[in-house]
This record gives sequence, C-alpha cells and structure tokens, in this order.
Amino acid sequence: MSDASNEKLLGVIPKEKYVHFTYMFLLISAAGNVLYSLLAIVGISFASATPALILLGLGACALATVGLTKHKRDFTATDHAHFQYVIILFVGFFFVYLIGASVYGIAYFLGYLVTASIGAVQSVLTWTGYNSWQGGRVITKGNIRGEIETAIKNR
Amino acid sequence: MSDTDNIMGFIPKNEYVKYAYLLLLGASALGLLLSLFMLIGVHIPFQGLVTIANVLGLIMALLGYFVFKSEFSALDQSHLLYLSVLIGIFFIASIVLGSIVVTAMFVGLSLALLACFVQLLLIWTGYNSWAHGRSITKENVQSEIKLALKRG
Repeated sequence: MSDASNEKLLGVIPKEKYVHFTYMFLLISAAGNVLYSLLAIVGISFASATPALILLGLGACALATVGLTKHKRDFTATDHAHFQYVIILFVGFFFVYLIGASVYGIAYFLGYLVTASIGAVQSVLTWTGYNSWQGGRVITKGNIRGEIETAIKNR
Repeated sequence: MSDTDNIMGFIPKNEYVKYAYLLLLGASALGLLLSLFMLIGVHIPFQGLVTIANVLGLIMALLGYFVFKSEFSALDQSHLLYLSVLIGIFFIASIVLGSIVVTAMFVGLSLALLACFVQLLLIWTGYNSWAHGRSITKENVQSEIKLALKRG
C-alpha cells in the first residue's frame, strides 16, 4: 500500500475517496433507476436518461474492477470486499434487467402480433362484407365462409 | 321507405352502405398497417385516426340499421347489421386486448421498480458498511441490510 495520503488514482481520484466515489456512482445510477421507474408507472418517460444511468453504473463497475486489479495494493482488505460487492451487484442486476427487458420485449412483440392478426381478420371480414354488398348478396352466418373465399378471389 | 334521397341530410341513401364500408375498410387497413409497423419498432401516431374512423363507421352502421332502417333495402339492412356486429365484436376485442396490455405493462413496470428498490437498498447497504469500516460478505449481508436501514 502506498504511503502518500494525498495520492490520486487514475490521475484524478483521491485514494481515500476512491471507494466513496465508486459507491456514489452506483448509488446515483440506482436512485435514478428508481425515479425513472416511478415516473414510468405514471406514464412519464425519460428515455434520454437511460444511457447516462447505464454509464454511471458502468463507471462504478470499472472503478471497482480497477481498484481490485491494477490498484489492489493501494486498498485494504475491507475495500477489496466492497469492490467485489459492487461488481457482483452491478453484474447481478445487469442480468436481472437484461432478462426483464427481454421478457418485456417478447411480450411487447407478441402483443403487437396479436393486434396485427386481429387487424388482418377485421380487414378481411370488412372486405368480404363490401365485396358481398357490391355483388348484391346478403351476408349471413350460413354463407360467410363462401363469401370470404369469393372476396379473396376478387381481391 | 321515404322519398328523401339523403340520410341525415347529407349522405346519399344509395351510397350510405358503401361509405360505411369504405370508412371501415380504410380504418381496418390503416390499423393493420400501423400494427405491422409497430412490430418492427416504428411508431406512427395515427392510432387516434383509426379509432375515430372505426367509431364513425360503427355509428353509421348502427344509425343505418336502427334509426333509418326503413330507408334501406333488405340487402343494405343485412350489411348494416353485419357491419354493426363485426365492428362491435372488434371493439370489445380491442378493449379486452388493451386492458391485458395495460395490466401487463403495469405489472412489468412494478417488477422493474421493485428490482430498482432492491438494487438501491443493496448499494446503500454496501456504502453504509464501507463508511463504518466493515467488510461485507455473503454471511453478514443480512445483518448489514438491517444496519443500513437503521443507518448504523
């Protein structure tokens, strides 16, 4: 461990504040996420804030990784444990959000697939009715299949 | 059947069913197109237009069948009834689907919010532990959470 009390790591961060900054980056990122999610529930979206929050989290993870590797000798065993904790938290929640976003994305896609299918059925049935009316025929439950086939042939 | 040539004063009687069909055809085709664009992530803000056209088409069909029934032939009446049933069913389907989507979105956002809270709590726990000069491990994380909540 270096003796210099005012030593700066990575050229800018005072050594005694290094873990503090690492935690602050992650805390701000997580607090921003909470605020972002609360606003999203009431329908307010701040999509532009997402990259900044991710960058802060990544910054915290990078600081912890550097602290645990390149500057390992500059920190105490307690600091090492906290760097590990920060990395585990970041990676763990990164996967939680990744899985959540994937599930959300798939559900969103399926929702629009169902909407598109319903739209297609509605379009075909409306076109069938119009085609039947133009042909001067009545449309009933009994002849609707035949009318759909006729409408598709006459598209 | 009355002698008047227009329905509601401005829609030619012999074109009424055609206009109702064209309005609903346009609405359903545009709705389908918007959904297809949504599938590839392109959001075109014309959903309101589709809803208005569908509502107008439904109103035309319902008015034609229930209010101006005597003005139309049996053929037109059957088609106005067909349109009323068709659009009515799709309206109910849209409401049910919309409710499911909104509920799913709300549940998803609530879960995301819960994950955010847990993350914030765990980070605060770590910071509190470090600020008091303690190490954090799998074994003491529970007690550290309690201490963090007490700010001890």
